Amino acid sequence: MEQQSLKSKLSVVGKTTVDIIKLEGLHVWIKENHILDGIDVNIPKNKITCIIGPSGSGKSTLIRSINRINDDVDGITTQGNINFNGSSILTSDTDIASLRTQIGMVFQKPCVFPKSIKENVLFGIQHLKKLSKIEKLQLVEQKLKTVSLWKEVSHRLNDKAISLSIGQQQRLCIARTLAVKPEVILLDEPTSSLDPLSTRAIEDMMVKLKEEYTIVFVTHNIQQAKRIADHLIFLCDGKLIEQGSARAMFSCPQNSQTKAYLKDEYCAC
Amino acid sequence: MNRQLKNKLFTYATWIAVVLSTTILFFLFGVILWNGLPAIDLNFLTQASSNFGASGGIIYQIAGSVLMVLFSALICLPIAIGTAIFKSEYLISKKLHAIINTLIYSLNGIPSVIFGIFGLILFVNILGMGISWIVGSIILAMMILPTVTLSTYHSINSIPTIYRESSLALGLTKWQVIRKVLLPQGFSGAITGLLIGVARAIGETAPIMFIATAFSGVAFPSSFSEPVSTLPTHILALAQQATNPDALQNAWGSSLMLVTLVVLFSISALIFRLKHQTISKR
Repeated sequence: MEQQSLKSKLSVVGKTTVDIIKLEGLHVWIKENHILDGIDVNIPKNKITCIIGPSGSGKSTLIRSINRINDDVDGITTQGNINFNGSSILTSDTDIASLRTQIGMVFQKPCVFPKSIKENVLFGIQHLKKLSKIEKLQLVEQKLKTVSLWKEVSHRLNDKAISLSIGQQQRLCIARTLAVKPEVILLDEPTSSLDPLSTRAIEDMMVKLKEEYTIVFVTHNIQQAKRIADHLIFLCDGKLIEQGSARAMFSCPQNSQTKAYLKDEYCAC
Repeated sequence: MNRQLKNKLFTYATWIAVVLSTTILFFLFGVILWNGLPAIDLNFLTQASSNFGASGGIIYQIAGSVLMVLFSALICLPIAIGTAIFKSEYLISKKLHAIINTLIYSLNGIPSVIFGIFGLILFVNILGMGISWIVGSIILAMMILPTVTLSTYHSINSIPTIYRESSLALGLTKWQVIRKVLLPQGFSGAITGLLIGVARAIGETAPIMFIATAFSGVAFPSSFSEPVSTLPTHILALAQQATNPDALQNAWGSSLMLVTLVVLFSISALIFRLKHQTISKR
């Protein structure tokens, strides 16, 4: 009885937000391995959605399905549906390059191109549209300010990006993604190779960015999810165990597996 | 025998192998330098040959050799880059990879004289292109194609996947990723392979002797359909008149010039590779 009333309360909370992305019965196989097993989740607009779960639970495969970067993986089969702004993105006539300008992605390991800091910020956007010199400079300054990198690098924009620290490189990668002006930003464990200070900087940035963007954040760090998540998705062994508002899930998880995982980072599935 | 003694013996054995192989190289260079240097002076390098090569210089032979390998490089490069991109970025099936590898290695293993006969039959006889340097360039391009293709493939393929994914995730199309990310990085591998291929091609005699070269009466070509004279075929012709000491002297001089060109290309390849290391190795 208690559970049911809680569920209905949660659904009321859920209805106040718009879901920008909906996954319906998503199955993914890589060769014979069933990586995702019928996932139904929704990603609320202008919120931070954290995907948590033990390693090998399919978090990365899930997030990588949303911008179809998984398409090039050898032996992948996808079934089910992903809706973005109301239309399916898994059809064969989806313009994948244009989809990826709307759904940007930041990876676990920062990957800067062997170019200058400035060129790295502009790397994606300059292939999409012509920018004047002034527009370029404005964009670089604006995006580097957003990721709080401007003060550190404004005097050496033409230096090689590889000369930055790993934490700075990751922020540069985020700036590069923002420059393309996506609606959604997918982040696949973006802080797992960073020091605690850079990690905090990125977490604070996410909280600010959610006003403009929808953020999907994969993390194996439960404390991190607790700090930043609005919406929480818990995966284990390729199955969705539970999803809902982060506050509700952290305070009273519905599922015993979720409870065990949030408490001991252990999942018996 | 105890382990330490075995270890020592093995170390000595490898040392002997190194000394043997380098001695052979230095012996060869030494002999060529010793016999070739007296033949070389400014006249030898700047004049045309006369008296069936026994007197005069080798300017047209140098020009013919360089012209032919430069064009073979130009013909080979786009085909090699195209094959390498296809193999690295578009070909998923492991089976097809194995088949293509076998084909590339087979092409590399074909004896050079077979290329010559093939060129003679196809280009000179059937297509009626005549004995001309451009046919020689085409045949040499075929010969160095495997080296250049594999070198380009390895440098493109060794670029970590994250660079491809990072660019794709920014909304670049596959072709943009190839053009903006992979090719600039893979280009150094292509040039290194090309220089190694050219170093090999410039020394080839068998594939070009029936189809591209003439021994005497040849100047700098004014069209694609003329034969040229080249260093290796010149050496071959001079060696056949070994009883004439002047001809032999010029054969040594030409050999020294040829070896110098080969070494120049090889060293350029080495310098180029060291200067332009791909992102994967940083």
